[in-house]
Amino acid sequence: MKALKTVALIAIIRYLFIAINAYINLVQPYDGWVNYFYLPAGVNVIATLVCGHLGALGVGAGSFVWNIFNKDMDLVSALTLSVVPVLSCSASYFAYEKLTCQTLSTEWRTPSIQDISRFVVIYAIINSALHHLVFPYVLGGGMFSQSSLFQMLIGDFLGAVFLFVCLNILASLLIDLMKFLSSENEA
Amino acid sequence: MTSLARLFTLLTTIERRFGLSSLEKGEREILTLIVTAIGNNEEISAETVVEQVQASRATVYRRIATLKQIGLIEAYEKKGRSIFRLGRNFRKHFSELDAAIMSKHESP
Repeated sequence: MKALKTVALIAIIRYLFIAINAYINLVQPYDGWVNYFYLPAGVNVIATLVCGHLGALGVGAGSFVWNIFNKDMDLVSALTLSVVPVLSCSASYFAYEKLTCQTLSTEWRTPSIQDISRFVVIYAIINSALHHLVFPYVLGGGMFSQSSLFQMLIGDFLGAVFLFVCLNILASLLIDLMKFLSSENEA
Repeated sequence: MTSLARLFTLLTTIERRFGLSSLEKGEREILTLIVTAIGNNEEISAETVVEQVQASRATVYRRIATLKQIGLIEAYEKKGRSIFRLGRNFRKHFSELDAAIMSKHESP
């Protein structure tokens, strides 16, 4: 039940972030799928680092709901394009564990900025490569220029880093707010 | 609680590195120690913190008291030991942050 709740929560957050990203891209160059700034990549990275493969499943569930209700895709295409982020998240989680010689599910070490950057780079490479393997079959061949792979890689990286930095600044502000409120209460 | 602690360590990575908040270095060190232990599903007591931190017992207890006062951590008794967990205020504020993010992204 707890696992189901986690998957559902991540799916909702992922869905909302895809929505906000689609909104941002209304005023920016956007070819429908690939762009230079993809905010939900940050959700994928954080969910996977925190919840592991369960987080990856939540990411896929969020994508599936988005593809069905907002992209008007048929079930098979929606499912295929939802499995891709699950595979990219799980693969980057696996690759990160191998590279850093740690098992994140049982041994959680405080991550450094370098650790997280490494994870983001691994994720961006795997995700853009996997998507470009699947895109021609689902959306039709010849739709993407060669530069779209690079564009998606940059978009995933920038989106993940941006969200991560913003949430870090928010968390610091929250700690300061809690400190301020506790000092006010004491006074 | 484990996931929340892991999320907290992730979202304080830059804070830990550059000291963005007004937490003292020693307080930050103790907080990281406690949250990392919770993230690993381990029970961490005041005695363990005293053993692992390079400071006098009095200083460590003073820093723990500050973190408790802020609401970042709280302690409960278990078999005569004082075990730490994430503070109620902390959990409350983080839930609010979650809700704020979600409502912000519902608006478009």
